[in-house]
Amino acid sequence: MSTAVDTGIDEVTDADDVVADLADGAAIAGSDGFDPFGKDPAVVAALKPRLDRLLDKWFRVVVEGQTAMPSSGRVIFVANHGGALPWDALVVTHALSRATNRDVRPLVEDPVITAPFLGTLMSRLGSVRASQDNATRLLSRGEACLVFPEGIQGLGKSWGRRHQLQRFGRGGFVRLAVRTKTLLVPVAVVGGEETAPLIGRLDALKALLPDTVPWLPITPTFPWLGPLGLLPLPARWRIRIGEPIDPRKTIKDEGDAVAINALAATIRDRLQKDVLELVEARGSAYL
Amino acid sequence: MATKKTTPTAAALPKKAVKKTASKQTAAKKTASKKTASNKAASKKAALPPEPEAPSSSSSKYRGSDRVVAVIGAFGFLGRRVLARLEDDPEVDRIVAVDVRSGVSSLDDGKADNHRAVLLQHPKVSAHILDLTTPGADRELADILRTEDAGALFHLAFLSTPTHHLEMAHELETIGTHYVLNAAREAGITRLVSLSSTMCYGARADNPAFLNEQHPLRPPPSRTLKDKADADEQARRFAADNKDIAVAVARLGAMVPTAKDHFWTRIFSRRFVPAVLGYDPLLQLMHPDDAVEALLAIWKSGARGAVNVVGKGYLPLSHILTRLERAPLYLPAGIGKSIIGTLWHAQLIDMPPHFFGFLRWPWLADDTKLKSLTGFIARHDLATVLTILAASRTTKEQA
Repeated sequence: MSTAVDTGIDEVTDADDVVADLADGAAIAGSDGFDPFGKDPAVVAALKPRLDRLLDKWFRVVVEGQTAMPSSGRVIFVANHGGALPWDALVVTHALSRATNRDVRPLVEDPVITAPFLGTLMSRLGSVRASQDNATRLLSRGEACLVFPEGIQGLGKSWGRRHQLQRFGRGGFVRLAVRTKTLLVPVAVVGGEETAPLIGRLDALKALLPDTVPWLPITPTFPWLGPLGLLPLPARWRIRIGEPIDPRKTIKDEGDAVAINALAATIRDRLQKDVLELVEARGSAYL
Repeated sequence: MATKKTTPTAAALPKKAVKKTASKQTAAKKTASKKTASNKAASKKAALPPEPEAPSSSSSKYRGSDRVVAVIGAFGFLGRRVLARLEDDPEVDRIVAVDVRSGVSSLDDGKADNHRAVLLQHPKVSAHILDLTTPGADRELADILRTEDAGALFHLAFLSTPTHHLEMAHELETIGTHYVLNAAREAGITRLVSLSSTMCYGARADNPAFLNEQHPLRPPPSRTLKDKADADEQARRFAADNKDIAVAVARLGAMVPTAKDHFWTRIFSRRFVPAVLGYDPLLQLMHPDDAVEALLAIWKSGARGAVNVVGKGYLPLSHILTRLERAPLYLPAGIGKSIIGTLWHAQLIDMPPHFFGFLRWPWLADDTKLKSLTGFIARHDLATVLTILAASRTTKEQA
């Protein structure tokens, strides 16, 4: 196996039986080109031109710094999360895929990937339920993952707290990177909150919602305009790809929880700084 | 000779006579009733304090012949196919077919004109009638196995479809497995292949994309699957306690096309197939011939532990229905489950409410272990399986 960037992929199979087992399993092919995570190449191909137009004309996405990232081998992109609806999973994935010319698989939190219709559509486009097992399988196939360590907390923050990063979970993504010997690449994103501004949450109506949806989001257009209110506002997006970080330089053992949380916090701080810079540089959010 | 140490009941049946059972099966039922009578005596005896020659002391040394294979549930849907393959196998001298159904009528394919002729067509098979749901079935089975000198055992006596007869299902699958394992230990079985289902993993939102054998069994609160999962656990505990026996638990995935009474075949043979609004899980479907070949491969290889056995390839439910020219009947998750539950409890449909989850959440199983242990590769991919299913249905509809 030779990869353009040394991500240590050769060392893994001997060192870690779990990873090796999962790698074999992930090789099982589906029919019609489906992969085990539900990605449908036909749907991806059909929607690609529309996604391109959405990113270029509607969101006017600008990606910075892509020259600094690996073009193959397994890698974990770490991005901040925001907006009442997970538009960033779609936009960042597609933008990174175009910039790096490879498939990027977003790992999406349960309330999103298990939501009716939305979860199914996202699976067909390549999203994967965020779990250590799924992520390990993807990485062992040499794929690029995109994680949102803030999880559902990132989507649940109100308009007033936009561009402020939430807690980075329990550092699961760092542990994953240490275990699978994978580089972490921070990706700062601006535009999610403005695309679907969350002005309130109706937790009280949870009983009326499908059992997997945690709350009913209220945006300037939803639910007032019905399903039309789910359409995105034409916010301008900025994405900055940071320098790759090798977690094994600071963490020797995946059981070292303190060091893992420390690295997660470092990445969070770096993303927070980048996000504020991008907001500053972008100017008006919509015009 | 080890046979000297067998129980009185087993000793009462001369071995040579049993070897010729195939030609003496004309009065299978008669024999069975005789056996039951003699067994009652045996079970009474078993209740007494152990005698010096009690089988528990000798069973660790006694080993059945590798060339004699017993099949429990031999005349069921899978059993019949396993039987046919074993009959063709030159490494198998004799097949001990154990089932609650009569051997003669089950083996009869209509070509022979009398019972004797039927049995002559199956010279390797000796059939025994045994009801696993009756108390004392373990003693009776142990006697059969030991008298026949069976060394390998396929435990295939499981229901292939959910039933409203929960008590019977529990007695057959949970208690029946308990009896089979008891008998296997006592009768000197060296290789045992038991059945389970990949549905025992449960279809859940938080399942990984592929369930391998290390994944815990989390069946839905459906009695049907809990019994199967319990049998699975029993077999694995049994394996841990009896290291000298190679115990494999084959967790079979969904199978089509099968007999009409098989769950998934029936689901997909309807004009409208229930589906969950907003969800479209990937499904694996297996051809029964592949399942049988996998079971035989597991037995031949002496594989141990749980082994997933699933079809080649997977597709979303919607694609499967399109290929079968079936229309999905979309129901919202919560209401749909309530509707199905009500109809199930009223015994108007044959799909328990908890099975609705298998049309909603992922439950793909990973058969890497099967491939690496046995080198088995399924002959039919999903597209072929669906073509065969569609064709078999079209023929039926035309008829």
